[in-house]
Amino acid sequence: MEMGLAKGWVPVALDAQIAPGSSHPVVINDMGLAVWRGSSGGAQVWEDRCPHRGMRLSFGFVRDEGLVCLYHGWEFSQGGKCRKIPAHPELDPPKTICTRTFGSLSYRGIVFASLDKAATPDLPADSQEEWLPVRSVFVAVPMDRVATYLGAKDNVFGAVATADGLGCHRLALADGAQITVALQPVGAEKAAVHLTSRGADADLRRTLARYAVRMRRILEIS
Amino acid sequence: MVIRLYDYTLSGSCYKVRLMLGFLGLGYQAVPVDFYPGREHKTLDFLDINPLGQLPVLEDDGLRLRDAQAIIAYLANKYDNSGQWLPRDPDLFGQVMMWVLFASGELMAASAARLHDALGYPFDIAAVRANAHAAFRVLDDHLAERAIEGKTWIVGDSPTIADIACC
Amino acid sequence: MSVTTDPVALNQWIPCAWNGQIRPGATRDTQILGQPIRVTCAPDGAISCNVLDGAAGAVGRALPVTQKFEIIFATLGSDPRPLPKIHEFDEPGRRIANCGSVGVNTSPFRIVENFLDMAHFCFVHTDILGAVDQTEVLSYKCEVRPDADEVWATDCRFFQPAASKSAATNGKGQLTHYKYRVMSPFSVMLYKNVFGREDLDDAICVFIQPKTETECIAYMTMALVDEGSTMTQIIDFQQSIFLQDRIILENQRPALLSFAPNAEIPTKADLSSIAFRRWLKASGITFGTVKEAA
Repeated sequence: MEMGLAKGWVPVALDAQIAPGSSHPVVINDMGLAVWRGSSGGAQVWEDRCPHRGMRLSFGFVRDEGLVCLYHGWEFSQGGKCRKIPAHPELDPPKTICTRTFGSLSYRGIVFASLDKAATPDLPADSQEEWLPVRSVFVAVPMDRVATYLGAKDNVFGAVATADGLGCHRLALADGAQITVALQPVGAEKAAVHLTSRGADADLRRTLARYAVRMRRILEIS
Repeated sequence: MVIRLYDYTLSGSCYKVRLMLGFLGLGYQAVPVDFYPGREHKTLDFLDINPLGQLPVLEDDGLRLRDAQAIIAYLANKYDNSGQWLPRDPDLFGQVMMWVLFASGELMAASAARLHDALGYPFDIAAVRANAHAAFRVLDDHLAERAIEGKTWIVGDSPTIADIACC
Repeated sequence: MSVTTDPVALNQWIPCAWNGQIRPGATRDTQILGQPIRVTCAPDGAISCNVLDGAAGAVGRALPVTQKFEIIFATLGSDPRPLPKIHEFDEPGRRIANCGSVGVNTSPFRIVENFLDMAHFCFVHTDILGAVDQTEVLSYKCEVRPDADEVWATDCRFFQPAASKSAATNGKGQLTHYKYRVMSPFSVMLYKNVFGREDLDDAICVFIQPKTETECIAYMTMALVDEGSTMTQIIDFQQSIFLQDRIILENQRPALLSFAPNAEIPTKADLSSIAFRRWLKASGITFGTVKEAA
């Protein structure tokens, strides 16, 4: 079964989790990232480290479509360039001062990041609006074990997950609802599982969220 | 007669009461207690005020209350005319009580972890952290379901003392 | 970690308790530079310190101890750098405050640099030590004083809404004058002129106990001019400030300090930390720093 790392894109969060004007810490294979969004537009994925004194940018706040570091207020615009250093208000920051940025895209209600400058894949004309957030769960097992579990027909969702070739797995439920599952390797012994659904009302999505928790419990007991 | 609060700035329990007082728009006199390094909360004089030797303690018009959860429930009950912070509807009231007691129970592992890491309290930190994570998961799982329902607060459609207690 | 072999780190006086922390007849087990130790207060109040050896923690050799600035210091070295002279602690009429100690998971040098830094006042200590609309760090002077082998920053000025507990009550804010002094790799202090009276500075000190390279205990003691506030209020104020810094300190990456030229990007406001890093590197210390690949 394909892992969730096809074509160099890794899921990092549900779109709904990255609310406009917010920033969040995400870890991929023990590497810290800051995922944030301006008042509108796509989520940004940056290295979680201010180039000044190494403060985690995920602790920062969003202002004027940029991310501001919590320590000294250095402001970085989308694209990563430093645009303001408050200790020196008259200074135009040198263009060399910037954060390390990564590619990001949204697919089926999930934010993906590319750490290696992977080409943006051709995404099918999937209607983004139809995919609603279920939830993300964090499981203290390696990502492979989650993939194996989802590929087995007795998993908690009652449907075998099949890879969709774009780094996600899809489950089709009996009543026609579909689930997208994207797996994120957090560390050697920790994975994040992001779930969105199409054709499932709020009651079903709540049930799916509970199944995700049950899956976490099953995987962590053994 | 002004409300008096025996207070320590860095205490999470005291913070909850200060937050509730703030939301209710109530003025109060803070009585700073030298929790650390002075351990003033364990002195004979303070044990007369609270035999458990803990903060916060609230005094209001001759009444003296300990326990942050009891204090915020008292303040909401007495001073909140909107009835929002402590709903009277039986279902909502039951849920609010459940989460407030969770805050004074399982969630206190987080406070213990802070006391260990910051002030050197001699706890079994691995056990404390595991318990704190388990408690956070319970709260997070609940909030994840609430988000699907389009809800923002732990109980009902507006903030309650459950949100203050669990913060 | 095992005990460090770094001779510069070993030959320092390291805090291991604050005055009064250990009751007569009691002991306190802790760790300095990777070495488990036991600090003992005898029934008559005399303090002693021993290493704890091996897995069973057997009480081993005695370490030299000394007490100064409300703190008990021990050393693993045979020729430790002398403790600094801070005459404010001996001046009559001063309020001597012991704010206890706070655990911080980072390298000792991140703590020192944070203490030297003014550019964060507006963001980390908003409305207390700095205001969001007055963020400029005016230029100041910095030097290594060769006689004491200490780093000093002088002529530091910053606009503050509530520079201290007493100043907080007047509501108007002021331009506070600072001097900073790094007394050793693991200690730093500032002189703060709050009331504008010549030569009457508050002296606020941080002495750091590195348990390991990335786990420290920061001890804060002060010799203050303040006549109005209670000791509880003074301690509360300083602890609150430090706990605001702690959130930053535990979230800097990496925790270890790097001497590599392009690892981080300083500006003119960082003059004191640039001087501190250069001075540290010249001392030969490796404990607490990013180790260059062999």
